[in-house]
Amino acid sequence: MSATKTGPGQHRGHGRRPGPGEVAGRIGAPVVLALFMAAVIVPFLPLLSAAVQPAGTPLTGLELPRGLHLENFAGAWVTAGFGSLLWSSVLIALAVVPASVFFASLAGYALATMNFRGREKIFAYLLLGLAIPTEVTVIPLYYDLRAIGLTNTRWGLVLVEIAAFMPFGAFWMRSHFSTMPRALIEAAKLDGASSWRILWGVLMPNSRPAVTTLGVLYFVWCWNQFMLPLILIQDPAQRTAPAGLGFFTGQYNVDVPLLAAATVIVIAPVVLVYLFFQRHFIRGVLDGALKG
Amino acid sequence: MSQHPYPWTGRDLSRRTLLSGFAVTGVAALAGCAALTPGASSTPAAATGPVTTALPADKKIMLKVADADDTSMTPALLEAFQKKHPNVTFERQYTGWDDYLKSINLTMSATTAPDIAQFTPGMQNLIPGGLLLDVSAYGKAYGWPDKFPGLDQITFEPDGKTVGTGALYGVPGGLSFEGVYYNKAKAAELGLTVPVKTVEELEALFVKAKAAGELALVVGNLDGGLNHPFNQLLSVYLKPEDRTAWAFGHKGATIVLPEAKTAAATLKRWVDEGYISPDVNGISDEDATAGFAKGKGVFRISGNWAAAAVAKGLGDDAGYFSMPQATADSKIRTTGAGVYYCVSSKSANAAAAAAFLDFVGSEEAAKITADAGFMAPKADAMPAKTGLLGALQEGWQATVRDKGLQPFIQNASTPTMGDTLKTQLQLLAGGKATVDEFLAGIQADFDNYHK
Amino acid sequence: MAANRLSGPVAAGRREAPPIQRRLPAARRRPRRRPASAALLYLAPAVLLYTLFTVLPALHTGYLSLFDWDGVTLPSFAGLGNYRLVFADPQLRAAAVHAGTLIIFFSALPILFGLVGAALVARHRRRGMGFVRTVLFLPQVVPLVAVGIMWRWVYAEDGVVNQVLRQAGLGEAAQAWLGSFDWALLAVGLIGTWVVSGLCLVLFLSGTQRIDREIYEASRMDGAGPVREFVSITVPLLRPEIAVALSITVIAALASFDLIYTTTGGGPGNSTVVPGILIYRLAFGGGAVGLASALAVVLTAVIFAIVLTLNRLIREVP
Repeated sequence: MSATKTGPGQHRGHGRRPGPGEVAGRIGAPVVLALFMAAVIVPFLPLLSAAVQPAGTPLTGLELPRGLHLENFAGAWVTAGFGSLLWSSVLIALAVVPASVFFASLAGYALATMNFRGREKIFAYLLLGLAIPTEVTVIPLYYDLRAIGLTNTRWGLVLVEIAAFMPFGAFWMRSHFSTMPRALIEAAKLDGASSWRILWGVLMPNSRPAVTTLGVLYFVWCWNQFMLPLILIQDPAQRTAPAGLGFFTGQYNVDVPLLAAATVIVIAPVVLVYLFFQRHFIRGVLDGALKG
Repeated sequence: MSQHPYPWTGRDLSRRTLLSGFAVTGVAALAGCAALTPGASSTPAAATGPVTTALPADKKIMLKVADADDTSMTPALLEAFQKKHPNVTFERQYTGWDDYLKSINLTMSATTAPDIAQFTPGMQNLIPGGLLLDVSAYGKAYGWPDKFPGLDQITFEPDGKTVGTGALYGVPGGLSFEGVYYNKAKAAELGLTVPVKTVEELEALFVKAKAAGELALVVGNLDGGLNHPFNQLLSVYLKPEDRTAWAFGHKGATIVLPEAKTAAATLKRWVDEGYISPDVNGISDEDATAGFAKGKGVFRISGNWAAAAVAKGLGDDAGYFSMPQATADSKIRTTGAGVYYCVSSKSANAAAAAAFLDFVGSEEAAKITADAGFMAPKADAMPAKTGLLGALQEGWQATVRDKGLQPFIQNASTPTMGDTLKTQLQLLAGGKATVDEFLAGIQADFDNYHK
Repeated sequence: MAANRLSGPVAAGRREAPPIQRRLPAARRRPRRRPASAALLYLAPAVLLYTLFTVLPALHTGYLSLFDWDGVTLPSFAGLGNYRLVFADPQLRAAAVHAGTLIIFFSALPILFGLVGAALVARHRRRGMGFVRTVLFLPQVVPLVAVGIMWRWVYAEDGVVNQVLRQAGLGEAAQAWLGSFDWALLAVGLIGTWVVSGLCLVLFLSGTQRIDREIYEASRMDGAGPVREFVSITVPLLRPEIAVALSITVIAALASFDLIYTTTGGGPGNSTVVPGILIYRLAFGGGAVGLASALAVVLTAVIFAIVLTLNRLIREVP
């Protein structure tokens, strides 16, 4: 469909003729993008088609839906109790994402722009966290949290997730702030701005793409985080949305249509959040940059 | 492109930096690790004080129940019990099977542990930790050995490693067992006479089906589903005492036996001759059931849990018979497990929990269990069914009569046997391991754990 | 408006400021040390939380690697015995080789696809690109349990791949891909590519927005084609993001567990076993938390060493 948008009139003229490479690019690019999109979408087709098959149908591959059984979504919602699971996910994401982005920005700012003893050591120390697999730390973590009374609460989970997200966030924001021109900071310093004001008045307003990206990634990871809520929260009603998928994968039987419908329920909010942020932040920046 | 700055990739990570990162970590380690040995003390817990079969009727009791039972059985049993004893309420905590296996041991060690839990492989580790209640005394008071088949599968020595002897830790709610499903329409079309009594005769049917261009036996081994026919063939060929000793982790037991070799060689022949799909390693067990239910293949060896899907897919064409044996007059021996309930040693209401366990073996419970697709402990109290479910029920009653229910070899022999058996079966089916290497492979896991 | 602020000062700053790369060596020779206290205040929340809820449990894991522990009862001291077992395990070598192979699929291909995608989306700014970007990001948002189920169907006997092959008259080649000793690792690797490419794309797109449009305009005025533009502008300017993506994806490849667990579980045989699967089996299935911890410590050390080496390499490329 993007192929239809290529045409001789499409290029923004700069008063020059497009060279042969340019022409190939204009035709080739949409083709490549279309291929990428097809590769992404095809694996979703069996899922979407399964979600509207009659509940309990045995399925083994991609099949055309027999009718449109939208009641699967209601069925999946009730069976897994998605009302409370999604609410729980929302609460946790609302606590984790802003706090993580905030702390990661502070840390990345200090690591990127300030010169102080031990800077590299602290950075290496944070970086180490990227290499620690959750599968094993989660068991000692359970006992550590239990010792301080934080198991079976969302607060414990929130703190653990913020901590687990810190290395990537600090890494990301540091590398972002490092690319910002020193002159910006120096100029603000000459005006007598404090480091706090430089961060919030000068750097952050110019960091929307990086911050939005970090926020969206944090949200996705938080939303799909599975092992941590499973182990740290014993009360199934307080766990998060992906735990609902377990209701449809039994020991021996999998109700494929309901599982597919449940999967759609779980991923819908993430897609919506992404669309929202894209619409209101990323695209605004893009368009502005283009026109400006 | 030198005009663009790359400060991040500047010289900021040197080996010294790495070492100092580790050094900081090391210092914190020394400071932090002194008191970090979690775990429960090692004393098995038995019911203390006088054991009573009376349930106090005046006191309000709340029991927390954790399970991974995705059928209607557990919730319906809880509801029925609650109706009988209005002062008892339940808080049910359901978790999906895979997730349950990951989390249940930690859940049981929490102060908020559930009173009653479904017993799953791996929970035997809770026994030396004293986290499961030894209910032998309740069993004696209620007379459970006469009410429940399959209690040996939940009887453990104090180390939790040896099964079948020692103390009782629970009872089975619904039992499961395996047999042979077949597609009646195809059997008629191919002129196959079913049921058959011996494995030899079954194989002769496979030959006919194959010759007619049909897939004879539908199996999926992506997640190790070949273990179902293999367990069945072991039930057929292996001496019961050898089977029990190995499946229950008795010290010094071995599976490197001529009879086990016959079983493994039979399975391998089925794959090599093409009775089983050459793609077997790439098909999941549930997809195999789904395919069979949609009309693929002629036979499928699986358990009663597949009955609902098979009946729904094949309708009147769904047929079932008990696993054929070595000879026509052999007693029926088959493999099965069940949904077992156990009690937390932290439960403040152990007597009420035990009363629920007893209820599970009752006539009233039998109907609930049967409706959920399981076999009831009280086999003669199951309401008569027709069609596929009726055939299964007959098979179950015959199995109980012949005392032929045997444990899966991978559930209790070692904690890692499920993975090991899967891996080895894939190697066997893929032609990467001989029958001898296959048996040696699973024996190595056994010896490693029970050394 | 805000957007104009971005392109304005950033662009201006970039032209007027002396390149930082040239400034840095001087700064290093005579480091101007600020009072550390301000910086430490900025770092404090991140470092404290991270220390309490990630590092201490990780150290705890390291500590437990010295014990025989089933995860429930009291541990008994085992010294370095677990480490001896780890290095004696014949499966470990296979697991290491598989993890290395997966780097191609989790790292190299996604970064390549991400760069190409980002360049195309950035270059062809027009209606519909938002939609394209959203679609390409989709795999990142699907829970891995569902990813596994979706792809098991794609690779199944009657799945999409085989349907296509049969349509194309290549029915001979059709097979259950995840069950093949020859193809399973490749098949799982491609799922990784599918999942991770979206992440790389988003990271790179965020980076391209930082790049001054005028650089592109200028290069186009010079008659540079899309390939030259890609090689000489997009890739070099995205180096910070590439470094981040490389680190993250290499870690994902080496610690890959979820994806393999939900598709092949390590099979057929041991042909897709990776260290993460071994750790998981030991810790959750086998009740050998001590041994699993030892394996995790070794894995962490290896990952960290590799990531640092990679970062040095990126740095040294001119």
